[in-house]
Amino acid sequence: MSDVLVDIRQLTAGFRSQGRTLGIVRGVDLTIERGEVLGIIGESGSGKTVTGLALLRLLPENAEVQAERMVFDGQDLLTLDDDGFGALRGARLAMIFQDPVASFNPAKRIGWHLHTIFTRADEAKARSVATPWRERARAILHDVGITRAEETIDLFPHQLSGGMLQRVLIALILALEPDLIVADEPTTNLDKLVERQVLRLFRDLQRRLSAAIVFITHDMATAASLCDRIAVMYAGQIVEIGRTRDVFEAPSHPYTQGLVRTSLALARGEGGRLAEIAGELPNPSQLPPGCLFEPRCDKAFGRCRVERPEPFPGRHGRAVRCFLAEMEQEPS
Amino acid sequence: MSLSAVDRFLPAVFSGRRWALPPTLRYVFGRILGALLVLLIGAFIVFLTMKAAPGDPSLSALGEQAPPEAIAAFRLQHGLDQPVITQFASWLGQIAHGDFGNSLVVASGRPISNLILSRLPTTAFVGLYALTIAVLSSLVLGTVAAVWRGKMADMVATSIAVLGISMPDFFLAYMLILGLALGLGLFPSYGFVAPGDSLLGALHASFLPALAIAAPMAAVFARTLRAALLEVIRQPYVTTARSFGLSRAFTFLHFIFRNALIPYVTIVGLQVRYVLGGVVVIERIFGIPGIGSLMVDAAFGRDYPLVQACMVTFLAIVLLVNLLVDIACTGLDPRRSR
Repeated sequence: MSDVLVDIRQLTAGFRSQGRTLGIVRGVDLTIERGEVLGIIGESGSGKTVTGLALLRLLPENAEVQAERMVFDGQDLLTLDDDGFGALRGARLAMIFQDPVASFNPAKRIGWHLHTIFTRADEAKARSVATPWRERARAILHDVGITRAEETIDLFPHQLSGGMLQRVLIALILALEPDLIVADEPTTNLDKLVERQVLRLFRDLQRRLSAAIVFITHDMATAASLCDRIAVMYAGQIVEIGRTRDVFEAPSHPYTQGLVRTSLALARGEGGRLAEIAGELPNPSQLPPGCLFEPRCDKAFGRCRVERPEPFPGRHGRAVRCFLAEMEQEPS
Repeated sequence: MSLSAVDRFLPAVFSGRRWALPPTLRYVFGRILGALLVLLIGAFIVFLTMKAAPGDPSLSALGEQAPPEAIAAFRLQHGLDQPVITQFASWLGQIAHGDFGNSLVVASGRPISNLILSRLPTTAFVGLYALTIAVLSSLVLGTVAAVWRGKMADMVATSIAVLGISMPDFFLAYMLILGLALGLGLFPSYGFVAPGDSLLGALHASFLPALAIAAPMAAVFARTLRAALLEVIRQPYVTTARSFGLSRAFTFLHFIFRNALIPYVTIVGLQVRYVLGGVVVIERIFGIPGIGSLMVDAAFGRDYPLVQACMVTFLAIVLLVNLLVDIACTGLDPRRSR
């Protein structure tokens, strides 16, 4: 059995609008190993959420997704029909979304959601469980630190806080026992204290299920505390990927360097203004001809303006999309 | 009773907590009070309107050539010499006892409450029949249009809806009579069969009038449902349902349809008044002996007490239906119950 759970080559995704397709994801290569936590970092609009959604084939109808290769645990996802994909979702693949409040059916109680998920999980695992669902619900809510489980079961989603709902969502995922969880900024809408508790739950979740987690975030500190590996996305491409410590201690891509600088400045309480990376993401309909980061890069030189860099491999699975990295490695 | 028992009992009485109604009941109670208030105001407006209407009830009851003494006696007998407010108060007092007075012209001397009660089941049957047709057809049309949005099925369903909205019910009634009754002979063009005598016969006989009342409503309902479904389909919780691998049918029923039902039922409740508007015209066209035709007869005969009674009855029905729909919506939408 190979250790690779997910293998993606040249994933592109965009949205059709008024006869044109606006590209969002531009050739992402990604392998995810069993049980690892992979962080995807990037600013809003960098394509990290779309990458996550594409992985579960959850993008809306006007989306156009292509890939050279998309394999999950030996199964080719590209040739899988929608029903087959539906059978994978909730059984082996699961996703946690940014807004816990909007993730729940507003007309149904928390207990109904848990009951529905138990049914789905039992069906997926072809088993029948004798324990009454209420008892299972109580137990699993206790597992995610909800002490008043009995009351919570009978409440409607709007009667719970965002932090509580995110806990319930984690409980739902816990019940599904998937092999891969895509978590799309699951703590962004929570306050700092609750965020820390939810992050601890994620670590528990990963340990208990030994599931792989793709943790999408724009917060370097969060990623550093949770992830084994980090992928930095910029304008729909992974510009740098590597082990968390390598990426943080020796960021190689100028964009990563900027992100690390900003997060360190924020941690020291310097407001981060000075260290921020100036400029904006390129307009998808007017991409620069060379490196996509070149217009914002303070280290850009002639070649960057005319040629787009390919990922340059380094040690321990490191890869950097930058000509500078290439030059540092091979002093010629 | 020992003193300690009294001690335990009294605080419960005076703290008020034990006697407070649960929020849902309090809400329903408030709505009933509100509806009664609207009914009172509505009844007053109806009363004033009838007072302001041209023509003299004593003349229409006794004839144009009636001697002045007879007219004076009539006015005294019916309290027409009193101030309007006094007349309204005494009328209200009568209504409160279920007494609408006697009919003057249409069924001279008969108590109006009898007349209305004997006609009410007929109108209720036709109205509910129309409502059922409207709801069932709009559920199908709206769902088809939303699920296959932008496709052929959507365009057909939407076109039917536009046709339904733009066609007045009386025009549609004559078209239906022309085509389905006179042309194809599928349905009778006139008359009514009481559902008590033969349910199938009643459904058959009242199909065209019910359809004529239902069509414009069904169109509005279907468009509402289509819009509501398309709105809900975009909600994040539907994506969440898909991410759980829940089946399409389950997701549609429990996530999409269930939440689209809330605005749908609200609109159905608001549109019910058009059933009654339609009933007045359509009962007349098809010769159905309901409250609608009773009211038209009363209006033509200047039978003022009868017209008033019919209007107040209609008002009460609209308010009752709105109340029921409101309570249903509160039940459907947990976010609305306080």
